Amino acid sequence: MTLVLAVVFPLSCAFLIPLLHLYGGALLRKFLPVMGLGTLALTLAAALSGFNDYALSFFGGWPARLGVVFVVDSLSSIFLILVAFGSGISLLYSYDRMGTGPWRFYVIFFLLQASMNGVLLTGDLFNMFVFYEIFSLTAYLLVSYSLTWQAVEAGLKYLVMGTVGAFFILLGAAYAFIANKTLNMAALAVSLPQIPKATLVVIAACMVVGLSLKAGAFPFHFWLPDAHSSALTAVSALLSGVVIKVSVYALIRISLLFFGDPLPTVFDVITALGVISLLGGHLMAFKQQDIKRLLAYSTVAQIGYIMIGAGMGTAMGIGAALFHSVNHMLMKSGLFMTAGHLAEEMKTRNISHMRGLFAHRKGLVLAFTVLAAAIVGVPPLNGFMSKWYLVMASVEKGNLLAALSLVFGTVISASYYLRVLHAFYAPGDGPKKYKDPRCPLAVAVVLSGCCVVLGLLPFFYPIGDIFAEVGAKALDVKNYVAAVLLQ
Amino acid sequence: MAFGDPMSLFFAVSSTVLSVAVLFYNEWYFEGKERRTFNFLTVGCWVASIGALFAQDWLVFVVFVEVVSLILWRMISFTDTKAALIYLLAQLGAAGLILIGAAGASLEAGTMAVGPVPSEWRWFVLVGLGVKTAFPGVHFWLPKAHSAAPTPASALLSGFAVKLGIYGIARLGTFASSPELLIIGSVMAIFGVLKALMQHDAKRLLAYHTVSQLGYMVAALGVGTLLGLAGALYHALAHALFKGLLFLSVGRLEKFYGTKDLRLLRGSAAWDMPYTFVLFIVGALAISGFPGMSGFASKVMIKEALKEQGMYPVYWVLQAAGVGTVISFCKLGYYGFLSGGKKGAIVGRKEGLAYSRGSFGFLGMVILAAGTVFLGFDPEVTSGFLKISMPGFFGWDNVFSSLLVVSLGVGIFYLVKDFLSSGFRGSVVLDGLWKKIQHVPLAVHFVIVKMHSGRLRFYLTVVVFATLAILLYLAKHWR
Repeated sequence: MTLVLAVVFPLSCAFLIPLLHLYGGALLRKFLPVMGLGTLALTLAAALSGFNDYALSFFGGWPARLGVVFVVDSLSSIFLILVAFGSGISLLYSYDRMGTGPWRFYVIFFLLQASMNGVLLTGDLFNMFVFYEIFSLTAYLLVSYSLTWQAVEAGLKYLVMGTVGAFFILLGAAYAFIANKTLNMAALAVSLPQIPKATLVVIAACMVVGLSLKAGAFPFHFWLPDAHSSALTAVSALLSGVVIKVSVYALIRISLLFFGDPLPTVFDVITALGVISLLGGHLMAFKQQDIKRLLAYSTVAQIGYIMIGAGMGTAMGIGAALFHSVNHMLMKSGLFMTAGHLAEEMKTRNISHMRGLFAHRKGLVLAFTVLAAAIVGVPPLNGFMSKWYLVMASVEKGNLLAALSLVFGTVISASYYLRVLHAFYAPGDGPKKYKDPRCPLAVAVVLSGCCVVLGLLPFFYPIGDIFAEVGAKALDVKNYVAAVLLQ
Repeated sequence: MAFGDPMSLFFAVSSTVLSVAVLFYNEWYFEGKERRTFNFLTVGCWVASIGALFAQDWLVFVVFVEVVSLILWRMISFTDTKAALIYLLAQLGAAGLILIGAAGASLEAGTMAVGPVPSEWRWFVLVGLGVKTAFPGVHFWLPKAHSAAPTPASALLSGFAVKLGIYGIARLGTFASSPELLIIGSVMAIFGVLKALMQHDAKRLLAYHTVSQLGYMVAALGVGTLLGLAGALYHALAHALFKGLLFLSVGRLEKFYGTKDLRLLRGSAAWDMPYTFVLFIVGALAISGFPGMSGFASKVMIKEALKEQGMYPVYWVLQAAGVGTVISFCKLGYYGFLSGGKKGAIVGRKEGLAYSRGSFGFLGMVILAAGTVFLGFDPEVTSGFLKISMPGFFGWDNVFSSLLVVSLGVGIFYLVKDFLSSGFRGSVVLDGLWKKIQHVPLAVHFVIVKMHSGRLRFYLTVVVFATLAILLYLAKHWR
């Protein structure tokens, strides 16, 4: 029941918000935090219910083969936790900055939340596509919400590219359905190995391309820098930190379930896409002058890290990818929020004009420094630890190219994040009016604190092993199938 | 490991002594807020280096070494952000390589304890440590960082940041002789000296001598005997002391005259700052291997180890490097302190030892000089500590060969001193490597920028072709 509620609750919130707005803004102002907290609690409850054992929820009492089923295992539970906290932070930030004035924004926001939960929970391929459509439409709207021409253009670009991606996913789902007469993912996992290899190859190519387009991997990333840089600050943080992780989840889940056994070359493709994204993203960020675009390209690169981990197809690799996803959510949300806030205050996004900020916004700049150091992979921080696990995973697989590109990425990213930091710490005129940015500061401090804690924790407590165990469980397709089909 | 903890302890002692000396020196060198920052950073650097030296596995080692690099990056960026950036990037890359090696070791041998690393993974660790130890070809960061940094930071860099690399290599090496280390070491020794002779920037000159002296240590580690290892460790300690001393005295020179360029210095420092001159002489004699100084004892041990194994080519290369060292320190001493004679001296300006701050800075140097002389007069202290029996440090052949080297160097300097004075620089081989490396990512960068044309139809075409490529790859490689 909690599984269904985790989707239904935000969905009904989205429908309630216009009604509440009709009865006056004060009511909405009171209820919005409740809705946010409720969504957070329900998502976490759904996540925890399935962390150790499979939690299932059948719609209308139909068995999995015929109806729609919601499944939570440890893999989706990690991502549910990530989504819960990531979008919670983003909601908090936008509530603080905008109040309840733009009520339509919150409608879209809760719809997005519901659809993200849906993608993470569902065990049915077509149902996933449906949630993906809601998810993408709301994401397009959120990108162009500010209605500046850049935002509208970015939203349009995202719409066109995203639709192409969605059609690839739909195509893959359709071929899978034609070949197997079922859409349940567990049933597909059983029957896909039996279909002709040629069909399987087409399904695999469609799925990988569609999902990596949604995730923003390199040759398919062209929508991402525009969309992530021209959206509102809170939305940028949400898109970069959380939304693309949902696609990463879908990529890991589908590639493990469908292609893990019959077509292992899919993992080579994912690794290759990861390496290309890493290099391309870092090199594009290398000379970027616009701070939000720089962060967006850095997201492309970080997706590359995650895909390298996922493409190893081993427990350690998937564990490392999960750990890096969580870390990237913390780091990139924090970076987008601090940098976005500073850019708004300076009324420019040009890095070389954002000078003198250290003297005026000490807390934010220090938090930005910690977060940037973490994403570069400076030792006692979480980015270092997840990169270390990624290096371990690629070395274990014998993929030295991936390991070396991880090192190369660290060097390049250090050079461009240092460029930003040099500007921040340089003397210059800070923002004119002094307004105490309490909420952004609190969020940034909490996120950077998490980075430090998660960086030090692995030395005392085997976090890597926990994530690797989750990876091992995700690799165990037989168990998943048994849990879903034999229930 | 042969020494187990004594080795860590040994390096820890050298970094502690150096840190204390630098802390004293900071009192004189910096003022106000900057001094507090530098004192804080120096202490942090010391703590992190101790952490690295006593780390149990490579991961923790890398973590602490990177903290040292970060602190030194902060120190260097006080005066030169560009050099600091290059330094940091080189260190991060090196750390990544060590980590790859450590990952391989932990998967192959089941452990990544600081120690020998199996088969091919050894090379990753070695190259990573090599960047930190400035192997030729990957040394490009060193001269820049050393000469651009504030003097205390240069002393720390040369004193123990690069020694952490030596420590790593010493731990990495098993007791098999490794010809590659011998070759790399001799190339480093001679290359550093040749480059140093071409410098007219006093700190750059010292920086290249750091490369050269690191070459001695690497070669000694390559011998593969206990004596060679002990020699390398001894030289690491001695070098930390005397190179720290040399950097600090050149720093005094720089502060007093406002330049460290040998062409611009008045050359009468011996009269302006006699105490500094005396301390400089101690350092210069030590690095030249003059009997009775620490450099003599450690070089004797290294040469003894080489002779014992019959590695005479390396022995002669190191002797030649020794001659070059003498020449270049004659140059530094002559043009920095002596060439102007007494008439160049600034009348009425004194060395400033009367002030408490001045004498504090001086005290730091005195500590290092005392250590150098003590190690030189009583070399058995260290060899006893390392449980090596090495009698006859002051045997007539050792003394004779080192005196020969010194007198040869002085003689050659006397003949060619006018030629060296012009500050000729020769060709800049390998040092421009950083700039050349930069072109590769930049070229790729421009290609990728061209792809971001802003035209949707182009983007969609890319998507279609990438899909086709993936499809073809999958179709070709199914099982």
